[in-house]
Amino acid sequence: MPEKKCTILVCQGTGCISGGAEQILNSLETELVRQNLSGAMQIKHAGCHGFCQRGPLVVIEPEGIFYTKVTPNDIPDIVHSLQPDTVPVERLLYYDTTINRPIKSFRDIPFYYKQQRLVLRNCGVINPENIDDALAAGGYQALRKALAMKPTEIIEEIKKSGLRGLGGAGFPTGRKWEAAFQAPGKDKYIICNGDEGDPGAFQDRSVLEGDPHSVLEGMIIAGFAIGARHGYAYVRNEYPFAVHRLGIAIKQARKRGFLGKNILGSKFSFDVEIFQGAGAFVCGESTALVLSIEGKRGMPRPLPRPRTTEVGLWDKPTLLNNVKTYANIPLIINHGSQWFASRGSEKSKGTAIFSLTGKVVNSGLIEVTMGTRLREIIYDIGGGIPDGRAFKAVQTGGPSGGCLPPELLNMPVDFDSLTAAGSMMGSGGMVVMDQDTCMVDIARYFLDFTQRESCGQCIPCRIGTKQMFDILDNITQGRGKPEDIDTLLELGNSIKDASLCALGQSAPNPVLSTIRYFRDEYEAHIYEGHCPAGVCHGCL
Amino acid sequence: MSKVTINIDGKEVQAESGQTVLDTALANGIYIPHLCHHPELKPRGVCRLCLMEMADGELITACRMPVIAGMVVKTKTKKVDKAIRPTVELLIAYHHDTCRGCPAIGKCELQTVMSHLKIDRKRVRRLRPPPAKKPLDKMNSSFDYDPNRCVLCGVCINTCEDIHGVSLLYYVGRGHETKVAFYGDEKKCESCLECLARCPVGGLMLKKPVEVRH
Amino acid sequence: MDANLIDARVEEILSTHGKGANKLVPILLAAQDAFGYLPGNVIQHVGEFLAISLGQIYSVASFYKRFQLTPVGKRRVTVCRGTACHIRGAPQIVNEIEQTIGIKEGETSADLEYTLETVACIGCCALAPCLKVNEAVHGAMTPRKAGVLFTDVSGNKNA
Repeated sequence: MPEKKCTILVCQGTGCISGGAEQILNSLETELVRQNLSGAMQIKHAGCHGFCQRGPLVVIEPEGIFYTKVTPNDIPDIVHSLQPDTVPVERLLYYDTTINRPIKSFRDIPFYYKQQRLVLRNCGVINPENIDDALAAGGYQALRKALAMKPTEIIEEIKKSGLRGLGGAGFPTGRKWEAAFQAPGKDKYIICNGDEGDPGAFQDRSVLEGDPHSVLEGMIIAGFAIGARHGYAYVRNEYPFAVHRLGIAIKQARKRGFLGKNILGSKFSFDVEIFQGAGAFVCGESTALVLSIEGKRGMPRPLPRPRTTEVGLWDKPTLLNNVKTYANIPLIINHGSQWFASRGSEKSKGTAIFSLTGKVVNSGLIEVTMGTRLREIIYDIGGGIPDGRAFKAVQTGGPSGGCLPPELLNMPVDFDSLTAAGSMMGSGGMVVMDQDTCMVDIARYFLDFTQRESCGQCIPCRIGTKQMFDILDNITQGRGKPEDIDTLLELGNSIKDASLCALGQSAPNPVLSTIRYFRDEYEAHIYEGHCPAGVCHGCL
Repeated sequence: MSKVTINIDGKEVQAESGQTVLDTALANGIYIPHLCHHPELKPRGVCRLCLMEMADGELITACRMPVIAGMVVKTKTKKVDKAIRPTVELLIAYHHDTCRGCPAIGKCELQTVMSHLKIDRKRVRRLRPPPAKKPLDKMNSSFDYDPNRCVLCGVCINTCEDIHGVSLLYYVGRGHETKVAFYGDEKKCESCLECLARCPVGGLMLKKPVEVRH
Repeated sequence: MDANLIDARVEEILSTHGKGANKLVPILLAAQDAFGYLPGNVIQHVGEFLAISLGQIYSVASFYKRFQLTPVGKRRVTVCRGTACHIRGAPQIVNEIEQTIGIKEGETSADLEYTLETVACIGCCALAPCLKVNEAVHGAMTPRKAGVLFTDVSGNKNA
């Protein structure tokens, strides 16, 4: 009897696990034995496949058969479909409503094929808890290559690639590495910032959960390039799977000689430890993050001050980059800076990863070339707005970003275009809003967040964000005053200019951008006591 | 120490190299608003009131900016005013309504800042005050803490650390819930009261002598 | 947990982490996980071990959201108020749960059965709105489902 040889990938991202992916894995093992197929089939725990909303996901390779919303009850049918002369289980396939038929392989689903998955290339494909899987996918090849290069050559490659920091601010990565390399001193540190605190963003978590070895590899190469021997991976305590898998990856990398003394027989020694963040959004700011590792309150240090690359952790030169920035490094070293720089827009190279969520048909983790238009992201990949509702706005950059109106749908998305439009790349949240979303309520929501997360040391942010929240709260309850819009603008601009750190300096953005693009909604609340979206109970 | 010349608000002044712009300005009779600055403590740059405009238009705190020969700074521009005036108004909105009973009357830095900026108290009314005043904290046997007067400049904490090596006073909580407290170490305090002496406002105050009723 | 057990557990945490200022947050996290909050005597113990004053530990512990200084309930209900959850109805979910279990956000029930809190984002935005009961994530919530979830849970108290 001819047997099909297949690999069954069961997504074990946080999203799918919450839908019961662990039970699916168990049922699958028993069922394969029951149907006498366990010899031919390989089951693989995979990281986040990206289409979290349709989870739990099961993918059958090599054909890419894509089963969505799988429950343990579906497992007998799925396993049966692996028998010779059978067909896929149609009811579990992705159903494309635009063409009114199910699609068999995920590679043919617009959500996937319109993407450009470089950093996410291994997520959902390899078993993140098995280093052999990562190695088979090309893991640690860039490290071998880098160890044969001079540190200055590596830094030059990164500079030429045009890679910019993917934590939100978009500072040129190569220049940061160069500064850390040139900083005098023997003891230097590498920090990976995985303190993804933006509400509405989960890409750092997914990369750590799905492909921790790429992040580690990037950190090790960075350590070699700047001359550091020790690295910290700062991961939010709220991300237990990310912490767990990164921990496994570190242990396996040590065993294989990618971490520890004399890496791959070279003179270079480097090790990484995980530091769990204890819940403070402001610790995403580099100086606050450093203080929190030192066991202190994470209160950012004011300018003017030396950069973290000169005076960082324990006052030593420290290179701090985001999870996704490190995950890009092996790609650049393997394929060369030119290959990387040929992608993206003029000043933003490579790809951007977004957590596409909110009022959108397909939500999940996506990766697109920098410069892709908002419309393509929301309509082609995201499938548009559900239930025939009207698109109203898209929020990017979380509490530091802003809400962009329909007029800007044709805008190419990169660091500079988002900033010019009054928003931000931020850590990559992209929340779609429809006609049922109230923009004043959204502004209130974000200021509620920042006033809770303000560290409290500087006056404009500490009292200013609270005051803006109080005013917005009043407006949504029908107690707005005619001068409130002016007061919000005045306070917002003052807080932007006067605050000590990036949290305060960007906190007014959600308010300023919604007043800029949706001023009529504010006016309806204040003058008519009416909430056009029907959200605010105080003004219906 | 070498001398350098800098220009503050159009006035050429001499400074020691290594000095900050704020110290230089104050030594030359030029007032720049400030709350968290104390001449004997390291500059913290948290009150944000000493922001000044650099030649390139950037706003920088004068308390942390060392003098550079030939630098030109301005402290009274529209940009500076737009940044710091709302900050002061916010402080007042969150402060006690009246100065009556405040131990800092006559030496209060916040009053100095207000009169320097000619703060219009009527404009403060457009802001929403907190729904309730915070209760007085009894710190130890000799002094109390009034969170409605404290501006969280940190001078008391740094003073304690400066004088005693390690501070017994700490910031506690986060955001607008932050306050200054001993939290367990109050018995170690020897009541040198230097923190009270240096408080720019009336945040820390001596306990009133207990009235004996006959 | 009785006092001896607590002491033994603290000793274990302290010895696995070792000394150094950078161990303060990891030790407090481990203690928080072990006891559900940071009891006063545990903080004292940690302070002595790391030679840090009580004030400094409280100062740090009161800064980070994860740390609780009072006991929490057996079932720690954490409702996500991330952006995606917010626009898909998280506020109504919080309301529903407040009514079902009879405590407000930030409170712990008198019988120490429940603690209800909200968190900035648990990163399950594609499943919005979502919540966690201890470590288990429940996605695509509706007020109805949330109501049922907690009626069920309390119905199976001893399960």
